[in-house]
Amino acid sequence: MKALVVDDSRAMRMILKRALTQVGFEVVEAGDGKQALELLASTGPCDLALVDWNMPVMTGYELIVEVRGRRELDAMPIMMVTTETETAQVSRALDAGANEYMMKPFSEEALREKLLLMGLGVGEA
Amino acid sequence: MTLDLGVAAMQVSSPDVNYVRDLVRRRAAIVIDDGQQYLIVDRLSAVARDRGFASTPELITATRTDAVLQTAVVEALTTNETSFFRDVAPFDCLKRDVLPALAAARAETTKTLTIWSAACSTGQEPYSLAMLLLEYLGPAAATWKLRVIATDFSDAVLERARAGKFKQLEVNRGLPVTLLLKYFERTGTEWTIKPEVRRLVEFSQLNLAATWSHRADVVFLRNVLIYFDTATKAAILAKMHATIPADGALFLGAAESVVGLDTAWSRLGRDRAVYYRRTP
Repeated sequence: MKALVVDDSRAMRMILKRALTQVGFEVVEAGDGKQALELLASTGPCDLALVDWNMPVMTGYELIVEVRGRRELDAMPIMMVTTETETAQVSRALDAGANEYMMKPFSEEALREKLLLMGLGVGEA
Repeated sequence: MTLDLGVAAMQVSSPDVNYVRDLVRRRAAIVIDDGQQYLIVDRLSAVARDRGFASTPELITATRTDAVLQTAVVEALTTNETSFFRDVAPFDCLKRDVLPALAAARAETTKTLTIWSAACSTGQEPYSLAMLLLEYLGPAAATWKLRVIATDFSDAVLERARAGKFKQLEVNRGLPVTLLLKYFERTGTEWTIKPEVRRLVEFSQLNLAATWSHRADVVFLRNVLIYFDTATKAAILAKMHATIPADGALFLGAAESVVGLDTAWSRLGRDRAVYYRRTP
């Protein structure tokens, strides 16, 4: 299974990559929304995308809107992973097409539980 | 109060609290703030019991000079914190395999459904069950009498559970974001369960080794039998026989079973979605 991690923080990408690798994902990374779109254009949809909100060039919100507008990427499961915690922002992300939402900071356990909720059969019994 | 854990509920002195907080901060970079001191009492009483200490303060004293105990203490305080819809599968199983027949049967009679969360800890499990009932029944929920009985041996965790306030780190855990938006209200850095969910849940202190008069269609007795000796486990399962009706269901933790304890329960379901029903 392949996961795309989109975050402008290299440290955050490393944390997510390590956690995802541990549960069996192959991980590709992008530093902003535009890079992510370019990557997806060449690889096709991933089995999961973890997307930060606030990034330069193209935000995670804009990325989700773009992705949901493209038929070939429309079904890709997306979880927003962000410091945005206002309910209005959470609603906005879901309306744009995010499937799940995780607020930073988070634990690796929380990430595994979110993946379980998304039907990505990982995590413990 | 005598705990069913066999370890007296004891106050932990502030030097001990400070030592443990400092240890966890240094070793795991996790800060236990003032509002979370219940964690120290709650989690370390289990470690004290497992390691043969008579009390939590005795454990902490020994921990100061024992690297192995330090690791055990840090682990107890940093891992296995409970989550909403813990393990997912039991909740899916309840919704898919148990509730349809149960709700159909009760719809013809009492129009009541009662679920008991028998080791409710800080409230994630009973609130998950209440949200599940509301989601399952939809608008018709208003015409039902729904109850979630929530008990725990620890008054400290019950106090937290009753308040229905959760930190961001806690609502990140296991709670689908759609339910977070629907059933919680954000106040500052905390999320508070909405009254429509809160009012379904009745909290009370209970030692499962003692007697009880609760009756429930479904009981979640998860990750708690492990704390009792074999005879007490068998006695609890026997009491559950009088608690749950013939068409009800008993859910245990993912790593628990009734094997060798009680033959009066039949195992149903498969894989991780397992529940028990009274053997006819």
